[in-house]
Amino acid sequence: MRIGIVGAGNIGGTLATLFTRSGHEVALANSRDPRTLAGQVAALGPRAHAATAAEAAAFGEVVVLAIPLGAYADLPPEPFAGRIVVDANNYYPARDGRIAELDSGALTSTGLLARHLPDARVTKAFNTIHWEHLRDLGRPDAPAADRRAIPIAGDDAAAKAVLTDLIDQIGFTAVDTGLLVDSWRQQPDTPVYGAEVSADQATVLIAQARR
Amino acid sequence: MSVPEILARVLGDPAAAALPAGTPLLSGGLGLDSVTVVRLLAEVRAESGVDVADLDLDLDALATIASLTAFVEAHRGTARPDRGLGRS
Repeated sequence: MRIGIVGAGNIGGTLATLFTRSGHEVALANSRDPRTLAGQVAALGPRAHAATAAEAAAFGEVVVLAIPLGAYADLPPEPFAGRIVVDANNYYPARDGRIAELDSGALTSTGLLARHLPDARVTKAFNTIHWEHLRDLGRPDAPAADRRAIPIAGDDAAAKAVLTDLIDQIGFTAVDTGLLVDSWRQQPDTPVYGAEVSADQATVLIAQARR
Repeated sequence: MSVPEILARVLGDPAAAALPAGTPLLSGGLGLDSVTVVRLLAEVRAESGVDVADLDLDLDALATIASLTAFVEAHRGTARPDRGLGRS
């Protein structure tokens, strides 16, 4: 599968490694000139290339966003139309500034992204896991019960099925948190956020979330 | 309404009310996803006044139909139901 990754930091870079290792073609972008990624994509091997954010979106059937929330506004919505977008980001007020709709709970952070990308099939995943655990804890050969859970959310069931399969390929197991309006259950300060747990444990932690 | 009856309603399957009490709710059993668990616990709370997620921090109560039933029965009357009359 062709996967675009916008954001070449810890989460984005780690996903680029895991997806290329699983046989996928990756276009990796950051907020700067793609030439600044030359060394990183060379290390990823022939299945990866550097791109602008718009090029990565146009390239990928799936496009992962691993960039700070404040950088959403700079993304051009057009190339994301029809794409399965995976939002790996979190709202951290200390970094991102206060956003009243998020503070009040009127909107989830991924809901905010979906509003910016109205024609994309927006999902949320990889926002609860520490990047070193993402790098090290995948067990593609292990049965689902022995894998670490990765909570996902989204309104498009077919998009979530594709995402679930990708998560399975890199050795984790996806746990469905629900729709984007439910995705607060996997945002920072909830029980499942950062939890190193199995799918069953994640299921109950997601149910346990309060706001 | 009993836990098995609530479960049957949430699943939209009347037959679920007659499942063996030892049936696991999660993997190895009914395989409920988190969305369904959220709905089940909300219904249990509304019917019995027992907030399982709030009271059982490890949520061992969700192991089986029997463990959830026992947990709810043990805590009935300790909290006010969301609606209607609680049962003692």
